[in-house]
Amino acid sequence: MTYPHTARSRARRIGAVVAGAAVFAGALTACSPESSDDGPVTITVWTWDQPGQGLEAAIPAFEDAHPDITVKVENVGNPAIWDKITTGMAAGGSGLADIMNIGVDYMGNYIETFPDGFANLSEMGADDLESDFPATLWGSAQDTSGNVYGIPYEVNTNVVFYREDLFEEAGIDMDSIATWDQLLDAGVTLKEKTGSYLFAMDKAASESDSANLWQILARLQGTFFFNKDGDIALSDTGSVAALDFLKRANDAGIVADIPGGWDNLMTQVKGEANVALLASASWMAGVFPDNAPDLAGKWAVRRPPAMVEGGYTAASAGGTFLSIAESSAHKDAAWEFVKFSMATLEGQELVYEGAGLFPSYSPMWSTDAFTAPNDYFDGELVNQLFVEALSEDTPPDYYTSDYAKALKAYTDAQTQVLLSGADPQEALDAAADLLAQQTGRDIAS
Amino acid sequence: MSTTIRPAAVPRRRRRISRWATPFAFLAPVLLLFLSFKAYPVLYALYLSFTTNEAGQQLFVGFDNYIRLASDPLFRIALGNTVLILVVQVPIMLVTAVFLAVAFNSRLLRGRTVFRVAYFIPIVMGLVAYGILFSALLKYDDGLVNFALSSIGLPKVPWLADPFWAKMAIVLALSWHYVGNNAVIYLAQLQAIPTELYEAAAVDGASRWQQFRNVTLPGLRPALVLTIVLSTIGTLQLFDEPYVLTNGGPNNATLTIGMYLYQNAFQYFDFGYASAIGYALTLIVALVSVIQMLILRRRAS
Amino acid sequence: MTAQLTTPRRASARRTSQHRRREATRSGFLTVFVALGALVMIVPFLWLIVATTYPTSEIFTVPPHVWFGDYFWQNLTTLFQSRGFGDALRNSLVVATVTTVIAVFICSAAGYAFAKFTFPGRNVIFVVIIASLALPSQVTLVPLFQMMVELGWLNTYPSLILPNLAVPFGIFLMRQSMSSVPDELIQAARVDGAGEFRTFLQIVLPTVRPALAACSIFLFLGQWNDFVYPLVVLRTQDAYTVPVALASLQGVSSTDYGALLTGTLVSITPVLILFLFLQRHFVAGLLAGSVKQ
Repeated sequence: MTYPHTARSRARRIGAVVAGAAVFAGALTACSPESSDDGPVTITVWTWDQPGQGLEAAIPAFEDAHPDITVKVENVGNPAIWDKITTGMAAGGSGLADIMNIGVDYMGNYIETFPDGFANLSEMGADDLESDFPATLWGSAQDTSGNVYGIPYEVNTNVVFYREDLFEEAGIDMDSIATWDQLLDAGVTLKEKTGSYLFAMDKAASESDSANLWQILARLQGTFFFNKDGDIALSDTGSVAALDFLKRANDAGIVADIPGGWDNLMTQVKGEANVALLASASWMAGVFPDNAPDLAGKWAVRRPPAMVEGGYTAASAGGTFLSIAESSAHKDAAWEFVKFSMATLEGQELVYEGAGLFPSYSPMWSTDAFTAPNDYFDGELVNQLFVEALSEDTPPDYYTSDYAKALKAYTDAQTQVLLSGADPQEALDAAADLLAQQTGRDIAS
Repeated sequence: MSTTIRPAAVPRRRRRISRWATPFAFLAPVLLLFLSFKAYPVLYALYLSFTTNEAGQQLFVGFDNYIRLASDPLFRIALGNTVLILVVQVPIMLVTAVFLAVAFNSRLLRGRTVFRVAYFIPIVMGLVAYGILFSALLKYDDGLVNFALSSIGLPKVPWLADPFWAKMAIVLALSWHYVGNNAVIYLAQLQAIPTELYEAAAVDGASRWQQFRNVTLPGLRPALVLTIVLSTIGTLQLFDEPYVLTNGGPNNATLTIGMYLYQNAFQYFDFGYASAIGYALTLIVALVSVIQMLILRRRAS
Repeated sequence: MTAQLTTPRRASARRTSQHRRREATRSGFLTVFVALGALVMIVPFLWLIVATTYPTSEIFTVPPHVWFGDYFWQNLTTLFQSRGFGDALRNSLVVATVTTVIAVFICSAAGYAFAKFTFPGRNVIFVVIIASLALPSQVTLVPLFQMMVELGWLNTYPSLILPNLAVPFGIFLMRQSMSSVPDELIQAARVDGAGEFRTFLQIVLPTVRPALAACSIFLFLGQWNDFVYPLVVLRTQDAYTVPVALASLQGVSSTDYGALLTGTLVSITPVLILFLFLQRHFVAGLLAGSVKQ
């Protein structure tokens, strides 16, 4: 090859390069699968590991009933799925899957920031299903005018798991404990008698789940990051009381400092972390038998104590939804699958068998398979416990589009309190001010 | 780069065109691809930085994002952290890498091949593995690092829980990750230094240190410029390490610009503001690079 | 480092035994020093290897394992059978290899143009290319994704390859090394009547072989480990690259760490092999230098 000498041949050569690139690209494109609109329809679901197994289990029965629809479940992984969905949303809703599994903490932000991203399910008849699902979760997938953008899949409620053997050893009767303050006193005794910490926290907040306990304590007082009007509730009485409790427990020396993340959680489950109580959510009940089979009968589960005597003893712990992309070419087919897998007993039984996630679909709660006693937790009717908690009338969580910012502002305040002994009220006031400045929201009075 | 060459003799009439045609022919594929796949995204991000999302609509808001940036306390914290890590980490890593490369290149080192691979291993670790490994290593109670420290009588270090040590953990993890990377670039450059220069220096009676200063370092100059500029850019964009190790904490002690940008884009869905942060970062990188170039050039002359 | 490339026999003839002892001491010190550093570098890697030999439930124990378990084959089987990891390996190999070969070539050509020619806009173009490196990829991700949607390239190899060919880092690296090629060498080739392209191909490229080897490693590695962009443009599991496939193993409450870490180990292996192979080219560059005289 010699270099071109004239402008004309140069232009021709550049043209050839472009054409070459196009041919090269075309050749490679041809190798990859292409979707077509005519004939049978294929719909894709983006989800992750465990919920994916549940949906897979429902596919054969669904395809039998709908021979013209094929369902493909793609496990994207969590947290990878959020970056993937967010990119598609920001690109005008293009390139998304037909059906997407969405966490409640992301839902509000997606609906508010990208109002054209998800299909409006109310227009497809979703409103008829409302009475079959827990109100708190249902409300989290609605926009301000009440349109529904997601059908609840998994639901969770907050519970505490505790080591019955250690509590007994310290002579503490869990039945006599009605409030977190009483639990704190019991924790001091427990530490003296057994050397075990009461619970663990990720004091440096190295993972995003480090605010979970505070969220439980705040919900037990009917407050959260935001209130119903979307104002910042981060520094209200209940919020401060919750952080104040954590500070007092920390100062009493009964809080182990254990970073967040799955493996650190497992060391607690396996009893390797010297921790006697784990304030967590209902989904954890399925984790114990697999990871700590030796401790069967030693772990017990119950609803959380109240923050103030007579207060709430139930708090929602979020959940996930199935949503449909507005840009999907097969919205009707997608809706059929969502309805079958989420809102029929036939579909839900298959999904539950496949994944073991706690179903939002309330008719499931009274089925036989569901009410069986749990061998791991000493024959306790664990699912009944969850159902009771879920049925209690607790205020919904107002996540809003600024949940992620609020979570960060709070987490920083918590770190200041737990690591450098800052005053809870002052730290939360500062966090609320920062949040107000970032979001333009008012601080609830 | 100092000197340039004229193409082979061609008839005078054509000389002008061909003089430009040759370099542009060599440049064409890169230019074409760059214009196709880089120019549009880069310009689109610039446009985004002047907009904000209002109920699904990108509204043009002029310099609002940049004004907000100027008074954003978190951006200031992120900038401070990033610069601190830059000033501490880059010199440590590059000096280490130069000595490593010289050692790899030295006849005196035994088992060179094995060592080169050992130092190269960290570079190939992807984000996921890196995160799991380091959180396992840096655990306070039972992590391998604290285990090693206490077994030689030193106190345990709260690597991820203390603002100062969290920064140190990032510095160490970053150095661990990239020192081999830079050593490989230096090694490639060292091998381009003519051996005659060392022999001439030896004949003149130069000591090892004098040879290093007068032959090795000047010979490494192109690679040094390259790595200083790239490490600076890489550190100013620092994201992976705080993302997998500390999540930017504790209390924002390891919040970097890259981390803050990611949070705004992918957690707050505020792509307009994130783009403004990106362009502010680009401006900072450009300034720092120009200053570095000026200093390095003055040193050379 | 004195006369570092002279052969041992010539060296010994020149040296006294005292000199040799001092060399031996130095050599020992240097080796021990570098070995200690190497140990620090590979401990995490050793932990990884050990971890892949245990089932997920036994990986994170207190205290950590110091010896191998017997679960490696089960982890490997899970990975390849139920997770379709074979597809991911093949996709990554094709994409990274094609990208590297083309990118090294065109980045060298561009580096050569920048280093050895004058033309209008040379500095401006170069600065713009390098400046684009400074803009974090998170803000160009969405428009690039949108381009791929409009081109209809989602889920294809070109969507992964084409945007990663004009790599600013590669151009910078090659320009730096091209600038140390002696001008006389190029002039001599031209005097011999070689065309511009042949000069580049047969004279210039061979002299920068160590840099080409280094450049190849970094381009391959960059493409091999690239995560977020492939994650968003790839739509089906059979098209996933290795990092995307690894991320898909992560769940909220049920990550199979045994498979995940085994996948990580498997994903590192090709790059290490490439490095072992290419580092002989660094050494080849070294020997070529000593033979020249």
